Formats: sequence, structure tokens, C-alpha cells
Amino acid sequence: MSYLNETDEKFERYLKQFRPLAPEPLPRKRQIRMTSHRFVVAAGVAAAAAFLVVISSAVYLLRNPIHSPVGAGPTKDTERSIDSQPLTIGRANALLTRSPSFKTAIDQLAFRSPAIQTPDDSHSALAALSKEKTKL
Amino acid sequence: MLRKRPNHAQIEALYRQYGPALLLFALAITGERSRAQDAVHHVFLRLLDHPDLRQALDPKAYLFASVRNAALNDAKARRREIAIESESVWFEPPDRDYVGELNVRRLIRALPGDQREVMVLHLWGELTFAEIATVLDISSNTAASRYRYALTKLRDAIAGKEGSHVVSK
Repeated sequence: MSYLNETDEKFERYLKQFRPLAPEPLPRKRQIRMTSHRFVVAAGVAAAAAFLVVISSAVYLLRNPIHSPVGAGPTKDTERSIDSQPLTIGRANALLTRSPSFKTAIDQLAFRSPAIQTPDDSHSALAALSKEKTKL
Repeated sequence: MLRKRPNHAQIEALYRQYGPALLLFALAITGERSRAQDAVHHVFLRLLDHPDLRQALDPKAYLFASVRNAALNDAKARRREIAIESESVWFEPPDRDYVGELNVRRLIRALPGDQREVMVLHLWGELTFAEIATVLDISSNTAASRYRYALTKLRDAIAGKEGSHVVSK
């Protein structure tokens, strides 16, 4: 090093005795990244599957529309149809299943029009019971 | 220039070889160990993600330049924060000369930034003045003159503190 005199060179050697400290080891970022990459792929697959389920459900519902969804309660049409028909065990069961609550079903049964005529080939449950009472 | 893309083992070998000098260089810029460490890690993690040093004419100078950019970018981002005077150790002192380490560290910190960078790059990074010129985007003559100024200042300061026995070791 011709640009330095002997004193400078000695001083350089002195300074070089102070060795810089080693840095901390490199963090294993690749492993973390691989894990997060797998998570992203899994999340993507799950999202795609959910999308397919939604689409297929929508297509199915469009092709097979549901007129009276479960739990929606009886509509006016169904009420009218139930009201205009005689009460049988089967219809009572149907009313119980369609009504939003047990109380509603009982109310509907209780306030039925008495002017309902039962067809000849079927018998009203209430009428049959009342006849039995009469006999007693 | 590297002909092939370096693999991870080669990058880790570069880290072991140049890591201490790179960390010291980053310390000379940031003055704070954690930020210096982050700058060095940033460069090598990026290199592990995209292991391509083929564009670099001199991989060693490229690493020092990258660390400098990372440290300066970090300094820009934190410009509004309060500067904290760091007292973390920079060197492994010879013969447990911790007082000597403290003196050298403080005197290097007291140098003007441009001289401090050249000092660290040449003395501990073992870069030639031509390589330093590439890293700092200055001429080789400027790098050499900055180094001489810095060395003289340090020598005078240490001689003033400890007496002439230091340089005669």
C-alpha cells in the first residue's frame, strides 16, 4: 500500500485486530413461507369447493323450486286449503308440522269453521269422536 | 461474475464469509445493531428467494451495495423517529480490550458518514478502492482520499486518548 506510510500501516494492523462481530443466523423464512403457501393453497381449494356447492345448490333450487319452505309457517293458500278441508288425523299432523309453533297449530284447529262438509268417503275425526260421546 | 445461479449452500457460505463485515458496514450507516441486522438479513433473504448474482460483476461489491441500499431505505422510512444512541458492541476486541473496542467504535461513529463508510469497506470489508467506487458511486481517487482522511483522524484521536503506545503494538 504505497499511499500509506509505515505508521499508517501499523495503525491499520491495530484496527484490524478488532474483528467485526458475526451477524445472527439467517431466519428460516423459507419454511414459514412454505407453510403459509400450503395454507393459502388449502384455503383456495376450500373456497372453490364452497363456491361449487353454492352454485350447484342455486341451480338445483332453480330447477326444483320449493313452494313451502320448512319453518316458514303456513301461507294463506295452505291455511285456506287446510281450513276448507275436513280435519283428519293426517291433516292434523300436517298442520302440526307446517305450523311455526304448537300453539298456532292448536289455534288453527280450535277456530276451524264448523260449516265444513266432509266428503262421503272420509270422516272427520272430531265428528267421529263426538258421535262416540253421544253413544256414551 | 457467477456463471450459475448460486444455490442456498453457496448463499449461506457468502453470508458466513461476508456477514460480519456487512453487519459492521450496516452498523456504520444505521448506528443501531437491530436495524443493521435487519438490513443484512433483508439482502440475504431476498437472495435466497431469488438466487441470482449473475448480473453482478462483483458479487462482493454487490452485497455491500445491497446492504447499503437496505440500510438507507430503512433510515429514510424511520427519519421521523427519534434517533437512539446505540451502545451495542461492534467488534470482538483483541485480548479482551473492551476499552479499546469502545474507543474505536466511538471514534468511527464520530467520523463523517462518507469517510466512515469508506473506512469500514476498505479496512474490514477488504474492498479495493475500485470496488468501493462501485458501491458508493464515487471515483476511486475520492474513495482513497476519504480513507486517508479517516485513518489520519482515527490515528490522531486514539493517539491523543491512549498515547503513542497504541500504534507501536
